[in-house]
Amino acid sequence: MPFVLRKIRKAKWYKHENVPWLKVDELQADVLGDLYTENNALSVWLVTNDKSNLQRVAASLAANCEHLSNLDYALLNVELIADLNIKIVQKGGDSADG
Amino acid sequence: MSTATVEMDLALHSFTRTDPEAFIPANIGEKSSWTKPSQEDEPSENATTQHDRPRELGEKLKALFNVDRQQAFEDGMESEFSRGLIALIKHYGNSALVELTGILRNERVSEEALSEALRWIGRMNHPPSYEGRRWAIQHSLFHPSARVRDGAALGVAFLDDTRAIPDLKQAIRVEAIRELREDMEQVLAQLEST
Repeated sequence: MPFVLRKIRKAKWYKHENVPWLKVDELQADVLGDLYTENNALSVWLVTNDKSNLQRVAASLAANCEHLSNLDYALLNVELIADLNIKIVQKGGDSADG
Repeated sequence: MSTATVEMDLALHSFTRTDPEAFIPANIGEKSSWTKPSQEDEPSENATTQHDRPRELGEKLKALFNVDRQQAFEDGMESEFSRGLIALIKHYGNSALVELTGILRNERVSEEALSEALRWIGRMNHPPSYEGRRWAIQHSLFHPSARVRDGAALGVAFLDDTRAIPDLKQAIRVEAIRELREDMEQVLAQLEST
Protein backbone atom coordinates (compact mmCIF):
# COMPACT_ATOMS: atom_id res chain seq x y z
CA MET A 1 0.00 0.00 0.00
CA PRO A 2 1.21 3.54 -0.69
CA PHE A 3 1.93 6.10 1.98
CA VAL A 4 0.96 9.66 2.65
CA LEU A 5 3.73 12.05 3.60
CA ARG A 6 3.39 15.12 5.77
CA LYS A 7 6.14 17.64 6.42
CA ILE A 8 6.66 18.03 10.16
CA ARG A 9 9.08 19.46 12.73
CA LYS A 10 10.45 16.27 14.18
CA ALA A 11 11.48 17.79 17.49
CA LYS A 12 7.81 18.31 18.37
CA TRP A 13 7.31 14.55 18.16
CA TYR A 14 9.93 13.62 20.72
CA LYS A 15 8.20 12.68 23.93
CA HIS A 16 8.24 15.78 26.10
CA GLU A 17 9.69 15.66 29.59
CA ASN A 18 6.40 16.97 31.00
CA VAL A 19 4.30 14.02 29.81
CA PRO A 20 6.09 10.96 31.22
CA TRP A 21 2.74 9.18 31.55
CA LEU A 22 2.32 8.90 27.76
CA LYS A 23 2.40 5.28 26.64
CA VAL A 24 4.56 3.90 23.85
CA ASP A 25 3.35 5.05 20.41
CA GLU A 26 1.10 7.70 21.94
CA LEU A 27 1.73 11.25 20.82
CA GLN A 28 1.64 14.52 22.72
CA ALA A 29 -0.63 17.42 21.83
CA ASP A 30 2.14 19.59 20.41
CA VAL A 31 2.34 17.40 17.32
CA LEU A 32 -1.09 18.69 16.31
CA GLY A 33 0.71 21.89 15.40
CA ASP A 34 2.14 20.01 12.43
CA LEU A 35 -1.31 18.84 11.35
CA TYR A 36 -3.08 22.12 10.74
CA THR A 37 -5.86 21.95 8.21
CA GLU A 38 -7.24 24.29 5.60
CA ASN A 39 -10.87 24.16 4.50
CA ASN A 40 -11.21 21.11 6.74
CA ALA A 41 -8.68 19.17 4.74
CA LEU A 42 -5.16 18.08 5.51
CA SER A 43 -2.77 18.32 2.60
CA VAL A 44 -0.34 15.43 2.25
CA TRP A 45 1.84 13.94 -0.48
CA LEU A 46 1.29 10.52 -1.97
CA VAL A 47 4.31 8.21 -1.83
CA THR A 48 4.30 4.94 -3.77
CA ASN A 49 4.36 1.65 -1.91
CA ASP A 50 7.98 1.02 -2.92
CA LYS A 51 8.82 4.61 -1.95
CA SER A 52 10.40 5.12 -5.35
CA ASN A 53 9.17 8.72 -5.51
CA LEU A 54 10.12 9.59 -1.93
CA GLN A 55 13.29 11.44 -2.88
CA ARG A 56 11.41 13.35 -5.55
CA VAL A 57 8.71 14.40 -3.11
CA ALA A 58 11.33 15.43 -0.54
CA ALA A 59 13.22 17.41 -3.17
CA SER A 60 10.00 19.09 -4.22
CA LEU A 61 9.24 20.15 -0.66
CA ALA A 62 12.81 21.34 -0.16
CA ALA A 63 12.59 23.38 -3.34
CA ASN A 64 9.85 25.45 -1.75
CA CYS A 65 12.19 26.54 1.06
CA GLU A 66 14.14 29.78 1.13
CA HIS A 67 17.33 28.19 2.48
CA LEU A 68 19.08 24.85 2.53
CA SER A 69 17.87 23.04 5.60
CA ASN A 70 17.00 19.72 7.09
CA LEU A 71 13.57 18.40 6.11
CA ASP A 72 11.53 16.29 8.50
CA TYR A 73 8.54 14.25 7.43
CA ALA A 74 6.09 11.64 8.71
CA LEU A 75 4.92 8.69 6.65
CA LEU A 76 1.54 7.04 7.21
CA ASN A 77 0.31 3.88 5.53
CA VAL A 78 -2.69 4.87 3.43
CA GLU A 79 -4.34 1.59 4.36
CA LEU A 80 -4.92 2.97 7.83
CA ILE A 81 -6.78 5.90 6.35
CA ALA A 82 -8.93 3.59 4.23
CA ASP A 83 -9.76 1.54 7.31
CA LEU A 84 -11.09 4.66 8.96
CA ASN A 85 -13.29 5.38 5.95
CA ILE A 86 -11.77 8.80 5.52
CA LYS A 87 -12.32 10.55 2.22
CA ILE A 88 -9.21 10.93 0.07
CA VAL A 89 -9.18 13.48 -2.74
CA GLN A 90 -6.28 13.27 -5.15
CA LYS A 91 -5.22 16.40 -7.02
CA GLY A 92 -2.21 18.02 -8.60
CA GLY A 93 0.35 19.47 -6.23
CA ASP A 94 1.80 22.97 -6.32
CA SER A 95 5.38 21.78 -6.61
CA ALA A 96 7.85 23.17 -9.11
CA ASP A 97 7.80 19.93 -11.11
CA GLY A 98 4.07 19.29 -10.65
CA MET B 1 3.07 14.76 -8.88
CA SER B 2 -0.09 14.24 -6.85
CA THR B 3 -1.34 15.05 -3.42
CA ALA B 4 -4.15 13.53 -1.45
CA THR B 5 -6.41 15.32 1.00
CA VAL B 6 -7.12 13.27 4.07
CA GLU B 7 -7.66 13.34 7.74
CA MET B 8 -4.93 11.47 9.55
CA ASP B 9 -4.89 8.88 12.26
CA LEU B 10 -1.72 9.18 14.29
CA ALA B 11 -0.61 5.57 13.86
CA LEU B 12 2.54 6.46 12.02
CA HIS B 13 4.63 4.38 9.77
CA SER B 14 7.67 6.46 10.60
CA PHE B 15 8.97 9.94 11.10
CA THR B 16 12.23 10.79 9.52
CA ARG B 17 14.86 13.45 8.89
CA THR B 18 16.56 13.79 5.53
CA ASP B 19 20.01 12.25 5.33
CA PRO B 20 23.26 14.24 5.60
CA GLU B 21 23.73 14.32 1.84
CA ALA B 22 20.59 16.40 1.61
CA PHE B 23 21.69 18.66 4.43
CA ILE B 24 24.44 20.87 3.15
CA PRO B 25 25.96 23.27 5.69
CA ALA B 26 25.33 26.85 4.72
CA ASN B 27 28.51 28.32 6.12
CA ILE B 28 31.25 26.35 4.40
CA GLY B 29 34.37 28.46 4.44
CA GLU B 30 33.41 30.49 7.53
CA LYS B 31 35.99 29.81 10.27
CA SER B 32 36.81 32.25 12.39
CA SER B 33 25.63 23.94 30.27
CA TRP B 34 23.62 23.70 32.33
CA THR B 35 25.72 21.18 34.22
CA LYS B 36 28.63 22.16 32.02
CA PRO B 37 29.52 18.88 30.34
CA SER B 38 31.02 20.88 27.50
CA GLN B 39 34.80 20.72 27.53
CA GLU B 40 35.23 24.29 26.39
CA ASP B 41 35.00 27.43 28.47
CA GLU B 42 32.41 30.12 27.97
CA PRO B 43 33.78 33.13 26.06
CA SER B 44 34.95 35.60 28.68
CA GLU B 45 36.00 38.75 26.94
CA ASN B 46 35.20 42.05 28.64
CA ALA B 47 32.23 42.71 26.44
CA THR B 48 30.45 39.72 27.92
CA THR B 49 30.25 41.02 31.48
CA GLN B 50 26.90 42.12 32.79
CA HIS B 51 28.22 45.60 33.47
CA ASP B 52 29.45 46.19 29.93
CA ARG B 53 26.50 44.79 28.03
CA PRO B 54 24.23 47.40 26.47
CA ARG B 55 21.23 47.94 28.69
CA GLU B 56 18.72 47.71 25.87
CA LEU B 57 20.07 44.43 24.49
CA GLY B 58 18.46 42.17 27.07
CA GLU B 59 15.09 43.83 26.60
CA LYS B 60 15.30 43.52 22.83
CA LEU B 61 16.14 39.83 23.01
CA LYS B 62 13.45 39.10 25.57
CA ALA B 63 10.91 40.94 23.44
CA LEU B 64 11.96 38.90 20.44
CA PHE B 65 11.43 35.62 22.26
CA ASN B 66 8.19 36.72 23.91
CA VAL B 67 6.57 38.01 20.76
CA ASP B 68 7.30 34.79 18.96
CA ARG B 69 6.02 32.44 21.64
CA GLN B 70 3.21 31.24 19.40
CA GLN B 71 4.92 31.62 16.06
CA ALA B 72 4.95 28.53 13.86
CA PHE B 73 8.43 28.01 12.48
CA GLU B 74 9.12 26.13 9.29
CA ASP B 75 12.36 24.44 8.31
CA GLY B 76 14.28 26.35 5.68
CA MET B 77 12.11 29.46 5.98
CA GLU B 78 13.06 32.80 7.45
CA SER B 79 10.82 34.52 9.96
CA GLU B 80 10.63 37.82 11.76
CA PHE B 81 12.19 35.95 14.66
CA SER B 82 15.20 34.66 12.72
CA ARG B 83 15.79 37.99 11.01
CA GLY B 84 15.54 39.84 14.32
CA LEU B 85 17.88 37.44 16.09
CA ILE B 86 20.51 37.61 13.38
CA ALA B 87 20.33 41.40 13.30
CA LEU B 88 20.88 41.61 17.06
CA ILE B 89 23.87 39.25 16.98
CA LYS B 90 25.44 41.12 14.08
CA HIS B 91 24.94 44.41 15.89
CA TYR B 92 25.91 43.42 19.44
CA GLY B 93 28.24 40.46 18.77
CA ASN B 94 29.20 38.30 21.74
CA SER B 95 27.17 40.44 24.13
CA ALA B 96 24.04 39.19 22.37
CA LEU B 97 25.24 35.62 22.70
CA VAL B 98 25.83 35.99 26.43
CA GLU B 99 22.28 37.36 26.79
CA LEU B 100 21.04 34.50 24.66
CA THR B 101 22.77 32.01 26.95
CA GLY B 102 20.82 33.50 29.84
CA ILE B 103 17.59 33.09 27.88
CA LEU B 104 18.48 29.48 27.13
CA ARG B 105 18.55 28.90 30.89
CA ASN B 106 15.10 30.46 31.33
CA GLU B 107 12.45 27.75 31.62
CA ARG B 108 9.66 30.16 30.76
CA VAL B 109 10.87 30.79 27.24
CA SER B 110 9.34 28.80 24.39
CA GLU B 111 11.41 25.70 23.66
CA GLU B 112 10.40 26.00 20.03
CA ALA B 113 11.88 29.50 19.83
CA LEU B 114 15.06 28.39 21.59
CA SER B 115 15.44 25.50 19.18
CA GLU B 116 14.85 27.78 16.23
CA ALA B 117 17.42 30.24 17.57
CA LEU B 118 20.10 27.55 17.75
CA ARG B 119 19.49 26.52 14.15
CA TRP B 120 19.84 30.08 12.95
CA ILE B 121 22.91 31.01 14.95
CA GLY B 122 24.45 27.89 13.45
CA ARG B 123 23.69 28.86 9.90
CA MET B 124 24.22 32.64 9.98
CA ASN B 125 27.35 34.05 8.42
CA HIS B 126 29.09 36.38 10.86
CA PRO B 127 32.75 35.52 11.53
CA PRO B 128 33.23 37.92 14.51
CA SER B 129 30.65 36.02 16.58
CA TYR B 130 31.56 32.56 15.30
CA GLU B 131 33.31 31.24 18.43
CA GLY B 132 30.59 32.54 20.72
CA ARG B 133 27.90 30.99 18.57
CA ARG B 134 29.77 27.71 18.44
CA TRP B 135 30.08 27.69 22.23
CA ALA B 136 26.36 28.43 22.75
CA ILE B 137 25.33 25.70 20.32
CA GLN B 138 27.66 23.03 21.67
CA HIS B 139 26.66 23.85 25.23
CA SER B 140 23.00 23.46 24.29
CA LEU B 141 23.54 19.85 23.23
CA PHE B 142 23.07 19.13 26.94
CA HIS B 143 19.99 21.30 27.52
CA PRO B 144 17.23 19.70 29.63
CA SER B 145 14.72 20.05 26.77
CA ALA B 146 14.90 17.50 23.95
CA ARG B 147 13.48 20.08 21.59
CA VAL B 148 16.31 22.47 22.36
CA ARG B 149 18.88 19.69 22.05
CA ASP B 150 17.47 18.95 18.61
CA GLY B 151 17.99 22.58 17.61
CA ALA B 152 21.53 22.42 18.96
CA ALA B 153 22.28 19.31 16.91
CA LEU B 154 21.05 21.08 13.81
CA GLY B 155 23.12 24.13 14.73
CA VAL B 156 26.20 21.90 14.97
CA ALA B 157 25.37 20.44 11.57
CA PHE B 158 25.12 23.91 10.06
CA LEU B 159 28.44 25.01 11.57
CA ASP B 160 30.06 21.85 10.22
CA ASP B 161 33.00 22.36 12.57
CA THR B 162 34.90 19.23 13.59
CA ARG B 163 35.78 20.82 16.93
CA ALA B 164 32.22 19.99 18.00
CA ILE B 165 32.87 16.25 17.72
CA PRO B 166 33.91 15.63 21.38
CA ASP B 167 30.82 17.39 22.76
CA LEU B 168 28.60 15.72 20.18
CA LYS B 169 29.92 12.28 21.10
CA GLN B 170 29.31 13.03 24.77
CA ALA B 171 25.76 14.21 23.98
CA ILE B 172 25.10 11.00 22.04
CA ARG B 173 26.31 8.91 24.98
CA VAL B 174 23.84 10.54 27.38
CA GLU B 175 20.90 11.11 25.01
CA ALA B 176 17.87 9.13 26.24
CA ILE B 177 15.59 9.68 23.22
CA ARG B 178 16.45 7.16 20.54
CA GLU B 179 15.29 9.22 17.55
CA LEU B 180 17.21 12.26 18.72
CA ARG B 181 20.26 10.15 19.40
CA GLU B 182 20.06 8.83 15.83
CA ASP B 183 19.82 12.37 14.48
CA MET B 184 22.90 13.33 16.48
CA GLU B 185 24.72 10.31 15.08
CA GLN B 186 23.77 11.50 11.61
CA VAL B 187 25.36 14.87 12.38
CA LEU B 188 28.43 13.14 13.81
CA ALA B 189 28.80 11.16 10.59
CA GLN B 190 28.62 14.42 8.66
CA LEU B 191 31.35 16.01 10.78
CA GLU B 192 33.58 12.95 10.62
CA SER B 193 33.34 13.00 6.84
CA THR B 194 34.27 16.68 6.68
